[in-house]
Amino acid sequence: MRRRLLPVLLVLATLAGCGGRAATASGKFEIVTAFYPLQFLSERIGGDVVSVTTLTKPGAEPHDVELTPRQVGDVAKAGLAVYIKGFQPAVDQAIALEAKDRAFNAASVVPLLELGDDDSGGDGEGGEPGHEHEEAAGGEDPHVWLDPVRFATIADRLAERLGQADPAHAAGYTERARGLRAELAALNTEFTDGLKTCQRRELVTSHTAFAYLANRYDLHQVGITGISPEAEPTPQRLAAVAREARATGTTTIYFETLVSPAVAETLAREVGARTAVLDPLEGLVDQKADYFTVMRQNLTALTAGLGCEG
Amino acid sequence: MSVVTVRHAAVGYEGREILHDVSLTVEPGDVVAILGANGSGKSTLIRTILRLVPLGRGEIDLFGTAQRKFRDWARVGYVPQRLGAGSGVPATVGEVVASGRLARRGIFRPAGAADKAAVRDALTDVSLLDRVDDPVSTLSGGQQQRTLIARALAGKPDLLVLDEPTAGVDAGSQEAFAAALGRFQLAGGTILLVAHELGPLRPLIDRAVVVHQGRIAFAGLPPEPAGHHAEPDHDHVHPHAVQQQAGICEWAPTDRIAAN
Amino acid sequence: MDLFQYDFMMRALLGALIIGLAAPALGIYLVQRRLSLIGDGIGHVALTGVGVGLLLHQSPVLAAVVVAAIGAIGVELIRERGRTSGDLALALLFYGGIAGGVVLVSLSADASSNSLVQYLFGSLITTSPQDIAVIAVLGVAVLIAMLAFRPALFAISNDEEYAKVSGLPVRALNLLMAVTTAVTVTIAMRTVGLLLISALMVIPVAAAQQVTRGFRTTMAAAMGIGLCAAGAGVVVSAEADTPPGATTVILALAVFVALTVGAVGWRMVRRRSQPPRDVEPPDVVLQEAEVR
Repeated sequence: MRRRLLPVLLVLATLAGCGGRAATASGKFEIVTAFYPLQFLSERIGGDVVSVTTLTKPGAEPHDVELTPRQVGDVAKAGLAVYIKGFQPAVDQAIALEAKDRAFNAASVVPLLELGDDDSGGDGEGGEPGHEHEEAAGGEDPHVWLDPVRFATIADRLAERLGQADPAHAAGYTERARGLRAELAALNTEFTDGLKTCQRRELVTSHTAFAYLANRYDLHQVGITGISPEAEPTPQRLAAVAREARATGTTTIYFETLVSPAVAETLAREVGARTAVLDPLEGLVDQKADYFTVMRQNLTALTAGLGCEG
Repeated sequence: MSVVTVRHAAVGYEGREILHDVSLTVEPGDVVAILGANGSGKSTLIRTILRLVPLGRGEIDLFGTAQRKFRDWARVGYVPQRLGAGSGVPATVGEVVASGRLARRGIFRPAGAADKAAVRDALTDVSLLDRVDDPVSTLSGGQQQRTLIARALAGKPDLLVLDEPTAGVDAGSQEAFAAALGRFQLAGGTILLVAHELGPLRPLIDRAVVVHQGRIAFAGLPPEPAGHHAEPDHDHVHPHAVQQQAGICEWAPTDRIAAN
Repeated sequence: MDLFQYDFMMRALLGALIIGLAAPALGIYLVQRRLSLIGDGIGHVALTGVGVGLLLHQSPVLAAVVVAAIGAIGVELIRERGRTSGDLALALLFYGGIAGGVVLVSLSADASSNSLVQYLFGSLITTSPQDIAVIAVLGVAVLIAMLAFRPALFAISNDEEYAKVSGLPVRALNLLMAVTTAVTVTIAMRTVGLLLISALMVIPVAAAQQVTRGFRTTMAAAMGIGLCAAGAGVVVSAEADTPPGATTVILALAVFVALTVGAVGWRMVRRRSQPPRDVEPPDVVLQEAEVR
C-alpha cells in the first residue's frame, strides 16, 4: 500500500503545482511584460490587482536582451506574458517554450507596417537606398507603440485578454482601458495639431524606430542605420543620408537615449545640423516619467526641429 | 687596480647553491680560462660577474668599483655562447655588431661616424667585413660566433668575457678568433673565458681556473690534458664520473704546477 | 560617388593611416620577441577597461588605456620572472579580459554586451574630431618612441642578456614597450577593433620579412605596408561598402601572400642562375677510393 502511495502523492503534488500558478503569495495576478511600453499598458490597465514584472531592465536596450534563468522562470509562472513577437528573439523563445498558451502578442491585434514602409498615406512603397533590415516576423516593423491610435487598440485588446484570464477583475480592466483610450486620444490630437504645418517633414533619426509615428502624422523618416540600432552605418549609407539631409535642409538629427549618440553626432557635424533626443520609448531612462511625458517631450523636440507652428 | 676581483662569492638559484666561497682575481692584461665539467658552476661564475645572476654572498669588484655601483659597462664586452633562437625578423651582421656600440654612446644619441668606423674595424678583425649586409641567419655557426665577438669588440672594451666560444664551431673560425683575441690582448685588453676545452686558444691562456662542484679546485698555469683528452679529435663531450680524487678530475698534475 | 568629400571619411582615412603606420612600428619588436599575440591579449584586457568605463560612466577609451597598461605591465613582469610560460599567461589574460568586460557591462544599468560590439569591431566612421586629435597625438608619440629608441629596442629584442651586460636600462625599456603596446591597442580599437589589432601589428611585419634582409629595412617596409593597407582598406571599403577595419586586414593578408609567393619564386629563379657562395673549408678531406 505504501509503495503506491508515494507516486500518487508525487502526481498530486505536481498537479497542485500546475494549477493556481497565477496567484502569488500576495494573491495578485502576475503579468510578465517584455519591455517598457507593454509594462506601462499592463500597469495602467491592471491597476492594483496585478503585479507586473518586466524582462528588459530600465535603461537597457531591448533589441538584444538576453534573459537570465530567473527571468525565464518568471515567464513560466506568469498568468499572462505580454510581448511583441519578432522584436526580441530571446523573449520570443522563452515564451514559446514556457508560456505558449498564456501569451499576448501586442503586434497581432493592430495592422502592421512593412519594414521600409514609412511614406505618408501608407501607400506601402518607398524605402531608403541601402536600407538594412532586421526581419521582424514576416519583415514587419514592430514599433507599434509609437502610434497613439494603435496603442489604444492594443490597450483595449489587452484588457479583454486580461478579463478572460482573470474574470474576477474584468470590469476593472475594461474601465481602466477606457480611461487610457481617452488619454491616448487626447495625445493623438496634440500630435495631429502640433505637426500639421511644418517647414520640413523629413525626420532624420539614428535608427528607423519611428515609422508608425511618421505614418500617422505624415512625416518622412530617414534612418541612418536600419531597423536595429547597429553600431556603425557603412560609409556609403552615411553619405547617402548626409546627401538627403542636406537636400532637404534638415536642421536636426535625432538620436535615441539608449544608444551611443556617436552616429547622430557624426552626421550632424557633417551637415551642420544640431542633434536632439527623440525617444523611441523602448525603455525608460528617467524613472519619474511615463509614456505620456516622453511622448510629449518627443512632440516638443519634433516641432522644434521640423519648424512646426502650433 | 684589478680588472675583476671576486671575494668569497656564493651564488644560488631557486634554493640550490651553485657556487660556494669562490675567490678570483684578474689583473689587467691577463688571459684567464675558467674550466670545469658540465654543471660545475663555471658559466654561473662569469654570469654572476656580469651581473646576469644575482650574487648571494660575497663581493665582486669591477675595475676597482663595487659591482652594484659599477656603471661603466662599456668597458666590458660580453660574448655569449650563441646567437639565440631566430624569430624570423631579419637582422644583418652589421646591425648586430652595431648594437655593441650602444654601451659606448648611450641610448639617446644616434649612430655617428665613430660608431660606423668601429663596426667596420671589428668586422675586419674577425674577417667578416664582406658579410656586413647579409642576414645573420644565413651565416654558419662559426661565422655567427665571430659576429658576436665583433659585436663585443665594437664597443672597444677593456675586458672581454666569453662563454664557451669554441663550442660547436668549425676549426677555421676557431683559428680566426684566436687570432682576434690575440690582437686584443696585445693591445692591452684583458680576457676572461669559460671553456670546456681550449683548442687553438691554448697558447693565449696565462692562467687556468678549474671550477669543480661550485668551488675553485685549481688555479695556475693551464694543465696539459691527459689521457684521451689529449687526442686531437677529442671533443670533450662525455659524462664525468661523480667520484673524484683530490678534487681534480683527470688532469694529470705535472711537477711544474702547484696545486692550490 | 566620391565619399572623400565628406569630413567623416577624411577623418576615417586619417585615423587609419596613423594606425597603419604606428602599429607595425611597435609590432616588429613584438614579433622579434615572439610576442606576436600579445596585442590580442592586451586588447582583450582593454575590453575590461571598456567595461569599467561604461560601468562608471567615464570615458571607456581612457579607462581602456589605463587597464590595458596595467595588464601589459603585468604581462611584462610575469615574463621577466619566467615563471609562467608565455602562452599560458596570455591565455589567462585573453579570457579574463573578455569575461571581465562582459560581466562589468552586464552590471551597468545602461549598457549591454551590444555596447561592446563597436569596440570589438571598430567604429572608424563615427570618429569625432576630438577622437582623431587624441589618436593623432598618441600615434605620433608611439612612432617617436619606437623610432627614437630603435637601436636600444633592437638590442634588447635581439639579445636581452647582451643588452643587460651593456648596461642598457632593460627593464625600463621593456616597461616602455608594455605601455606603448597598451596605448597602440587602445587607439587601434577605433579602427580595426580589439579583435583584429594584432593583425595590423604583425601582418605587415610578416609580409616585409619575406623580402627584406635587415632589421631597419624590415621596419621601414612593414610601416610602408601598414600605411598602404590601411589607406587602401578605407578606400576599398568605401567603394565596396564593407567595414573598413576588416577590409584593411584582408588587404594586409593579401600583401603577405603576394610577397611570400613572390619571394619563393624569386629565390627559385636566383638559385638557378647564381654560383654557390664561398663555403668554409671542409673539416674532412675526401679521397677517391682506390679501385683495385
